[in-house]
Amino acid sequence: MITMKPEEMLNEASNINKKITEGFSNLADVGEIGSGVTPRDTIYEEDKLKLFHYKSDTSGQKNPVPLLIVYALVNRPYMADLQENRSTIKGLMDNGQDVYLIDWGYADEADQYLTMDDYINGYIDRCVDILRERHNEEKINLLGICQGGTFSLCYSSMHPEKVRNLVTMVTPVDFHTQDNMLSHWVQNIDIDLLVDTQGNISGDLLNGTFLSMKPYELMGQKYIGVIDILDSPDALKNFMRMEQWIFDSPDQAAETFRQFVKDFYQGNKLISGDVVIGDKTVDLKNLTMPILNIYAEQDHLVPPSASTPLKEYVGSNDYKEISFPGGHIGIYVSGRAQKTVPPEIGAWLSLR
Amino acid sequence: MTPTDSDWQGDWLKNQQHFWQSWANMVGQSGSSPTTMGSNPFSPNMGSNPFSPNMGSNPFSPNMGSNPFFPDWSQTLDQWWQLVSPQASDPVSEMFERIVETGKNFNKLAEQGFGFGQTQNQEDVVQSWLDNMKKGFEDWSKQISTNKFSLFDNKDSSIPEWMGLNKGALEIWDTLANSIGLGGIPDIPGLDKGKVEVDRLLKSPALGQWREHQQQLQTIAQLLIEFQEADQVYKLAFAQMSLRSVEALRQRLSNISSNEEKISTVRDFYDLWVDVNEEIYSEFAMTDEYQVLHGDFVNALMALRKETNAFTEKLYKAVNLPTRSELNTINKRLQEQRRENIQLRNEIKRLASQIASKTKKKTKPSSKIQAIPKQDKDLSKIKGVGPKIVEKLHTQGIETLEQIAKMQLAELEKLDEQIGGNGRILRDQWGIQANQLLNH
Repeated sequence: MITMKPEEMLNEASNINKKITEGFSNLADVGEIGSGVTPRDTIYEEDKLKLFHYKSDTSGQKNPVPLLIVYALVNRPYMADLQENRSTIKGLMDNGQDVYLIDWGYADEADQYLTMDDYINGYIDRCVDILRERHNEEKINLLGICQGGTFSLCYSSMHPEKVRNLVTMVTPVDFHTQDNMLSHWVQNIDIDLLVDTQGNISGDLLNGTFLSMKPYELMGQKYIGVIDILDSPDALKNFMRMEQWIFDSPDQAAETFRQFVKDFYQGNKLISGDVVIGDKTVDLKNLTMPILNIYAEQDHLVPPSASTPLKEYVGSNDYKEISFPGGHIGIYVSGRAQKTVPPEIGAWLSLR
Repeated sequence: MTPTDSDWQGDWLKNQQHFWQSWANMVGQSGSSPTTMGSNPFSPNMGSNPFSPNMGSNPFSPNMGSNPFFPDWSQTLDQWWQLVSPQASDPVSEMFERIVETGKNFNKLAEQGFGFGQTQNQEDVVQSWLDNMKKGFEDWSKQISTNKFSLFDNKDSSIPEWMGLNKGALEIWDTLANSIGLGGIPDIPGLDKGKVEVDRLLKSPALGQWREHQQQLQTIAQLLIEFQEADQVYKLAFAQMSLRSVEALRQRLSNISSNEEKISTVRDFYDLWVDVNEEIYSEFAMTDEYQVLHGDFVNALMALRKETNAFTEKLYKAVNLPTRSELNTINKRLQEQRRENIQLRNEIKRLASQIASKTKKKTKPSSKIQAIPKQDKDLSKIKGVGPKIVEKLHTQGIETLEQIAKMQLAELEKLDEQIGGNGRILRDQWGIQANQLLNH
């Protein structure tokens, strides 16, 4: 049945206008949004990298092995610490972990020759060494998020003697599965030509690409939805936090982007054992440490089919998978995720 | 923005009043308010309302310019935004702009439905809506096809501002394409006339002193043509996809008419339209066809951009200005050097600890950390320690190298925090350095 009446349409338009124009004043109450809520210290800095240590306010028993979170170069890591009641980092701390995180900062043109070797065997390795020394532990726990998960797999394969347990979240492993839209899009792009011409790949370009995976929802419908919450300063603030995060996209260092897209997205070399980083070859069979692989069932950026093949390629006999009913971002910020995901990771780590 | 500022609040209130006054004037000239209106709210005098000066601006109502049945509700929102947006800070303003844009699009949909509803029954309203959308995409499609060589004046074939399509996949690359600007390429014969005179440019022989220059321009012209072709194919495919979406929407609506589902608001209709678009788009975006034309488009754009960059660099060189290539060379060398430095530092660290452990064995094999009891007050012997840091160390009561040499890791960390060293003490291994200095 289609029952739309002209006067109702006028009312709807009138309501939209009313909500938008009145809601604008509520922006005054939103105040500072910030980036990341859990108190932290910067314990190490190098170039644009910062290594954070999160300050625990719980006096409960703490895992003596520190947990290092490696975030993606794409977007900013405060997704994992967005607001007080929606913080994966806080959740991990509440579940007995001593949490550190690498913040990559914003790459600029002077960083364009940073390679995956510089990031993984350089930056990550130095951060790991600092934590090993600081905690007097031979091996530490590593948690990689998205592209940071792929980096963590590479790192752990090249330096297995420094990783006690490995957790990967929404991490692409097999880049050539049927439903991988990003992968589908890049296959016919001449990456060398793109990178040689553009240098660093702009965050806006990447961000636009992600949004264009669902353009009508993400650039249209979502904003009609927000009109309904414009009269609620709290809901609006949460929306704005997310909105700020979505559009806060650092540029990608040219050489790292080149190798990541060519070897991983186009060549799918991670699973064939042909990725070479610096002077080392990445062999997933070297991953003999316990592995916890977490994926999101409705992930449109890294579909489950890209994550779950990990078990076929690793050398570990202690491999566990957890699936979360939600999306790529929901796994960090949704209320349901907060209740289930960090406790499961915490418990898994504390037993190993 | 200073959101708590009372001026801001005052301005906002003023604009708010202004907006509602105009809105009330527009819809209420028949004496009804928007929420209670039962009779036909349309007023034939609406055209003279200052807030709806341009009823033909909706790209999806190409033939409605002078039709008095169609109000312009989105226009009022636009005007309001023009008034208040200068008061907002950048991030807030950006986000709100997206909301206003979407609100406008939504209202365009509503105003069309309203307009059609003045003369038609409900089923016909929906059909008119669909026909109108279809016509919009067909017109767009035609414009793309006919504007083959008009990169410099392609406003006519720009993407319709409609339901987020304009922000979709197409716009990202479109923006990048526009950012080439081509402003750096002066004096290409024909190009400045808004159209590449292909034959003339490509067929003229390249001779003499300007041979190389002319050859390069010919290459650019060729790449430009290739890009325009790829651009056209890409946009046409999008227009075709949009037409398929309209047909799919028609199908969905006809299913809805014949079963229990209900579409009773513009919002229902809008949501359905988004659903259908998303479905058709995701099918299209996963086809081999899309993979090829997306890649071709990006590659053609990059090939053109690369060549225009090279051309521009030449001009820069001619007037002795630095170029991106030169900067890249420097950056590349610098990065190589940094890598080498790190390697050397690690090597030194390794050797130093080897030496330290040997010395330890000789002098005091059982002890854990070696510190030779020798007084040395020159803290600046430690690499990276200057007078300022020495001063900071003194304030912390650190006077001698022995004190540092004897420190445990946790103490060194604490000291680093106290002097605001940002990890410098561990990074530069002051403990080891101090030990070595004392041993020499």
